[in-house]
Amino acid sequence: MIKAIFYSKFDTQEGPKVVHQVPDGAIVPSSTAPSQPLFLTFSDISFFVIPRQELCGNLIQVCTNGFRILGYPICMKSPRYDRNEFIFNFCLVLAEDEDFSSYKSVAQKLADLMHGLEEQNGFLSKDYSKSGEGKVYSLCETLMEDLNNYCECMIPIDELNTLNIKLFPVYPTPPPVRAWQVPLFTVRYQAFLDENWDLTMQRIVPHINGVNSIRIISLLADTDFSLTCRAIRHLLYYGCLFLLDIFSFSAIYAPTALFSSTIAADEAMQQECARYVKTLFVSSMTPTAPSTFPPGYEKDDVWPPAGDPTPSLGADSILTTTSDNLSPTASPANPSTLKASVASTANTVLQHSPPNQELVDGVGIVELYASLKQGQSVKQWYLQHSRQLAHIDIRRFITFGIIKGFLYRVHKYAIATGNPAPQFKSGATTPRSHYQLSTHSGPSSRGPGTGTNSPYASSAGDDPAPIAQHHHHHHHQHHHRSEDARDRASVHSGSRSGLNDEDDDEEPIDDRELSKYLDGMHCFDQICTELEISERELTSRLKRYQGEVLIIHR
Amino acid sequence: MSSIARPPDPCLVAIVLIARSRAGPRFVFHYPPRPLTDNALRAPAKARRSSRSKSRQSSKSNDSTSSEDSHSSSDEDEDESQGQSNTQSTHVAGNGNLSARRSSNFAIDDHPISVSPGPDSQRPGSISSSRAYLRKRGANSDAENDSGGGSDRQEEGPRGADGPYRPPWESVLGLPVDVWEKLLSPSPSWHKRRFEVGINDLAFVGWPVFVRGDGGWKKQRRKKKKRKQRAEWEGAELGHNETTEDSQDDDGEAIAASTETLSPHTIPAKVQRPSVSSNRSSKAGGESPNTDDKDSMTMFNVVFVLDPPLLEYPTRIREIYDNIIKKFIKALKYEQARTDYVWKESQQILHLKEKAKEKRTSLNNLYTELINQSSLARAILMLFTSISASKIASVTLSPDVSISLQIPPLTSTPYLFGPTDQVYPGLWLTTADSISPADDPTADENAAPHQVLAKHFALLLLDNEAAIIKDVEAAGGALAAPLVHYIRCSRPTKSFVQISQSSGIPLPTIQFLASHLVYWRRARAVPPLHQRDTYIVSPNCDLSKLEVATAAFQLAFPTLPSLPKMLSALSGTPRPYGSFIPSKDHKATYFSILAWLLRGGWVTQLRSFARVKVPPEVKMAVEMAIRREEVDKYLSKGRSSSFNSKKEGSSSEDGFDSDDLADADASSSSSSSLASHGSGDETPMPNRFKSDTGLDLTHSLLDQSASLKTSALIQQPHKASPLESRWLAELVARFPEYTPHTVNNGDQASPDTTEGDIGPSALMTSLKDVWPTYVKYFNGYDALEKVPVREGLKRKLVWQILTRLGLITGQQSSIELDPKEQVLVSFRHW
Repeated sequence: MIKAIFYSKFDTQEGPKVVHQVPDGAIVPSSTAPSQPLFLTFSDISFFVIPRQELCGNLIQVCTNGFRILGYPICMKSPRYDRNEFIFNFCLVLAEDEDFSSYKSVAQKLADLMHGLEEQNGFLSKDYSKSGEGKVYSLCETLMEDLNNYCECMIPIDELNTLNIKLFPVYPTPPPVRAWQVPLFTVRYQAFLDENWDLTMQRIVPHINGVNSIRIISLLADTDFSLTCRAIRHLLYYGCLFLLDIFSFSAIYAPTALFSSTIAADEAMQQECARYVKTLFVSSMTPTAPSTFPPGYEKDDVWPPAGDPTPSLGADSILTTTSDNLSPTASPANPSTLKASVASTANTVLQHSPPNQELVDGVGIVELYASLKQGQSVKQWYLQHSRQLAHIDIRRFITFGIIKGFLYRVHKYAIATGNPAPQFKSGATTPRSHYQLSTHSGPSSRGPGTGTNSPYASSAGDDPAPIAQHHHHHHHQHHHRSEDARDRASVHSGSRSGLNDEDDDEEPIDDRELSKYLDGMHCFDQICTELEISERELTSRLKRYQGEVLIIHR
Repeated sequence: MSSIARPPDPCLVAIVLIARSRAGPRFVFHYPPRPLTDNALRAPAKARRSSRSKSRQSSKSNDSTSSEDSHSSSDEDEDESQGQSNTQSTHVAGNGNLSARRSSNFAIDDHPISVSPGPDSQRPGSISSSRAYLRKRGANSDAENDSGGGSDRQEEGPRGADGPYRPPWESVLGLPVDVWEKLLSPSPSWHKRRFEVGINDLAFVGWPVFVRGDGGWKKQRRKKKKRKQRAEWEGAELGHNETTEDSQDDDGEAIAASTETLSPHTIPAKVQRPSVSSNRSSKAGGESPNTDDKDSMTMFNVVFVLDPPLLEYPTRIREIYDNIIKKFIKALKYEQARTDYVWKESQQILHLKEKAKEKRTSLNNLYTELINQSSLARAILMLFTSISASKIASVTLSPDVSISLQIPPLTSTPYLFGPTDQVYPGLWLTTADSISPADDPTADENAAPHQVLAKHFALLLLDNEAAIIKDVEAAGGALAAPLVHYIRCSRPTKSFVQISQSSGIPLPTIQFLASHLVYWRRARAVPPLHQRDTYIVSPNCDLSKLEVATAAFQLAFPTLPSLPKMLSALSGTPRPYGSFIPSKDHKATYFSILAWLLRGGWVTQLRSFARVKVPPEVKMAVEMAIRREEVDKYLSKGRSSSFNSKKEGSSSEDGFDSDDLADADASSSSSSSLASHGSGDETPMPNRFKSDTGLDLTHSLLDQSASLKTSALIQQPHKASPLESRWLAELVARFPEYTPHTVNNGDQASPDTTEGDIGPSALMTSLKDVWPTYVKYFNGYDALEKVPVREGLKRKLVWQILTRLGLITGQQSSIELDPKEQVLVSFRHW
């Protein structure tokens, strides 16, 4: 909010002088507005408003009396003026603690305009109107009103000049984006996309859906990668995007410190979550729950979602199911014991929900999130909670937590220590069969920790644990393998499907290439994205790395 | 997450000393000699000032020829030398922008002004760049301006004919010092108030001090004794507890007013040199009138020049103003009042400058001399060097007065930075030091929370003990002896209370000494380390430092697993730290390792939090009970007031009264909070009596909006609503009186043997008895790890009870769980 605008100039007789002020009497006492309290003492700041010549042409601000005076003094030299110079300044007065960043340009723009007008026809120096009257005054008045009310203004001054000003907020610079980040729109780009947009932008936006990584987007859109990154950053700057991580069932997520204050406390957020993941949610706030899904929403490429009648199966949300034939659960209460009024309430609930479905209420959602933890992949988590998760889109469930900030992705980093690979350690976890979810049921047999109580163990968690242990089996094969790999590296596109590394004699990525990722600075997502391999392939490849590789979860 | 507090970034460009006498303002001193050019300290750290570094690099070239100056008429001097040439080179960069901007802006209509979205647009030009613009408009006629690019003239032309030689130090930041000295010596209305002027991107912040009407610098009524004490506090100023109000008149005292407020306790020997005091006061009395000088000072102002990023402008200014500027100038004012210090030093500096001008000494030589000869110049140098490097500045004004100043760094954050946030890797990630709702359930500690360290925290030294003790002893002062004693007693595994008990140092003293060490960056307050606590690799740890840290770790713990191994081990499913300790003999070493890891932000404690879950059955039971009470109440009321309310419907005030009475009767058997509620604020509304059931269903606890079919979490058990209280009571009532389950002794979950014996008893007790102790921690914000420390209970017992209550720690437990007791929803984070 602009508190006041005033126009000041250097008067050869009177010195620095306030010519016009809005509101009247705010800066210097005015006979026409005797009741207006003065904001400040003009003599205190006159040196900053009409400074020495050397300082003119700079944006000058000064704080006094709880106000910040923002001005851009201009000194014009010409023989037509007394003493051959004309110094003036249009100052904005803001509250001292208010953010003034967007007003700096206003002061500057105003000064530029006035400078121009004065040059053209002596707009200012020929303004002899009394204080509170005339064109200059009404310009100040309109400017202040419009900026305060509409954050912009378009004030015609004469047939050639118009004052156009719009307040733009200043946002922080977004950090560089990475190939393995996954953007998700917070707005509907269709609403403002037009053919004048940057070509790269036009091509990438359809592929931004909360699933594709930036790398994939650039491939799908057939756009230059660095241009894609710049476009993404541009969208980030304006807050049109979230950046997520690549979802996979081998990823690990855990709660952050925001957990208590968000999902665990906020029932509205629990409902929002239920809508997003399309579970059946019984609200304790509105007896008419379960929440209904607003129609008309198809894709999950935008946040917040408007609702979705058909669960969209993302590439990896293989667990989402639409079937209704679930194990029935005990209905929470026996309606017959209810008094009539209560029973009717309860019946409304029951009417809306098919009786056989498990109802995941708000607390249930909280419990599901709370059971995510370090060292436990999404898959393991799913296996333990498959019943409650039956109607939940897992990817969206996780994504919701990331978006709200109460979950974080535990990234894996590999570090080559330079030591020889350790001896095989028995007792470590055995490799698990992947992607065969149906064979697992109930809680994982995985006990506390990884079975070793000593930090000497190189196991770093559940899945990647066996990396180092298996290594020495392959030790003797390494040399010819890496040579092989070097030859073939260019040929292989990285689209290996070999799930069983024991049978695979090729080595598409040689150790040297791999080793530059093993400094602890590159997370698995990055390595996988850049080498174009799956995490599984990476894990098995790391097992064959010559030398000890440690995995750190962070 | 834009609200994240950022670690201090001093953004310090220069420090300028202005003194005004009757002869007018004088630009006395500034440091560094060439601001924004040779400030090498900052250059590497700040990528965002890349444009400046560029200009810095090019500043050696004297001939920023680009702008060959068609305007020989200019008013500045050729030999402005390098200080100016920097300005020149920046001009070059700046002018491109500016002319572009101008041309577009003159076509006003079609170019709405905008902040361009480019990432760097928030920091347009520095003052120098805009200064070129200024000169265009100011010093030159606009005719020249309009004629186009030729206006890029550099203003290093001869500055008038007044002197053939203009020494380099008479121009700062591209403007002659006489401009600065006028600009930065404001009117007396700024006396002891924040003085803030901005020129383009630079902020000039000061705290001007004017001479009093009586010619003195302080109020006379103050006792001198008080003042003595302060001066002795070398490096011991605990400014963080400063409670002095802004610009009160007592600031002669305020140098170390903070120490007074902070050390009410038992610190001995505050007045170290009582003998000096008399000496000093006589000095002050004798010299302050300044008889021998024809001219005396009427004002001085130390202005700090900052270049904060636009978005952080207010924060940066406030930080440096509160922590540095005010305190430093108060110290100067104190010395000025005492010995006319500032004016004497100013005169000396000015004198040296004058001589240097005559001899045409080089800028560097002049500064060498100034720093050697003037303690004030030295102090400003120290201040600048340390503060701009975010370090602690120990500034000595005179043998008697030295102060330590710093901008307190951010030591921890509860927020994990996302991909779009600015990140501060290595910052300690924890909620452990934030004040959570029940952080003070007993409320017996001091009112000001953050200022006194919580007594259940422990001290983690940030350096090795010997090094800190050496520094403390070297610094000397009254605090040295108690500090050393305390540091020797302190253990990161023991809370302040425990240390107090074992060492005999009173708890308030320990808290004071600890907060001293914390404030001065020697230590950190952490929850006491314990082998039953769980630590994970911090998501915020700085893996780019891994290599260096690995080497350091290797040095510190040569025979133990390497740092990557440790981190790797701590990855994966979280386990109590004790499970990593191979044997009892390794315990001490492994705690040293843990301390080392915590210190570097490599790991953070994984803490458990919980809330009570109220299942639908309990809700329903409470609902039924309340209904029964309602019915009873209604019947009894019906009997007493003869269907009064039913017949007369909404009109009867009497009905309410009797209703309330009956209500009170009916609920007398329930909890006290319930009774108070029923008879209190929720008097039923008249129209509710119209309901045809005759039962007032909305009355009292029956909140219709609360579904009976879903579970609920109790957010704040210690502030539970009446209904929640009923739920909790019902929950507890359902706990079995005793646990029939026996312990599977052969398979105890914990490897810990030291506390093993109490296990069975913990498993046998009824949770009803212990519930009141625990329930206040179930608010989702208090880590359950606090329970044993605060309640003085054994960890094992606590964890067994919590496990019975439904805490999931990820450890397989041998405790058989009774579903009726499983009332917690637990979650773990840092």
